[in-house]
Amino acid sequence: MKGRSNENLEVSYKIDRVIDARGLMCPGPILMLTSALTSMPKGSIVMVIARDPAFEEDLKSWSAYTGNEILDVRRRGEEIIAIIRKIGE
Amino acid sequence: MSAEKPADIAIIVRSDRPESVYPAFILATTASAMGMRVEMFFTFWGLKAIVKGGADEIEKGFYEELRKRGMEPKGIPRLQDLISIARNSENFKIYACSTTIEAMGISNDSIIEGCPIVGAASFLARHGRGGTKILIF
Repeated sequence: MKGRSNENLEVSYKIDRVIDARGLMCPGPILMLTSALTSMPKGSIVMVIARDPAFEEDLKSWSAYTGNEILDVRRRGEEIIAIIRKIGE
Repeated sequence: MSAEKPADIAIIVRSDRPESVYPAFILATTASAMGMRVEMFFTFWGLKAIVKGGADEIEKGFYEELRKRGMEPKGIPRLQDLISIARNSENFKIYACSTTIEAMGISNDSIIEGCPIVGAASFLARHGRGGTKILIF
């Protein structure tokens, strides 16, 4: 693997639901995410699209506290796109 | 009541100013979204937030204030939505202060459903021996 970069490695996930939280600032995106996960089975994968600049840090704190897993977070212009897996019930 | 587990966060709302009511509900609903047990106690002017129609009045006043200053309520969650989230969340309780209801001549029926009317001792009894953080707005 020497000399090879993982930078272009693309991993794909089967997204069970996409949450468009672009219209809301804190705590909108986190509340929309939590509310969606409540009705979904363990292991479900959701994608959240947000514009709240605090969302990435908030999401990390939420994930550390609740145990739900962040599979990916990236920025696209002003948008933050996160992929989260539900852990536990 | 005393057999129940203490809340992680107890929030006392004593003002009907938007800068009290909004952050109180924002923190409360976010805490609940993070799996914390939350209780809110509405007293004095803060009671207005859980009187039927009160939240809409608070929101309207807030929007007017913003517009007067040349701002728009962009991205701010609707107060009514935050209250519905709170009322529909597990491990979330909302209490109304009995003394305020009496002093202000508010009828019990005008409080939104599902908010027991309690006194200070009932509210404190669940938190006095636990590690509850109490926030006052």
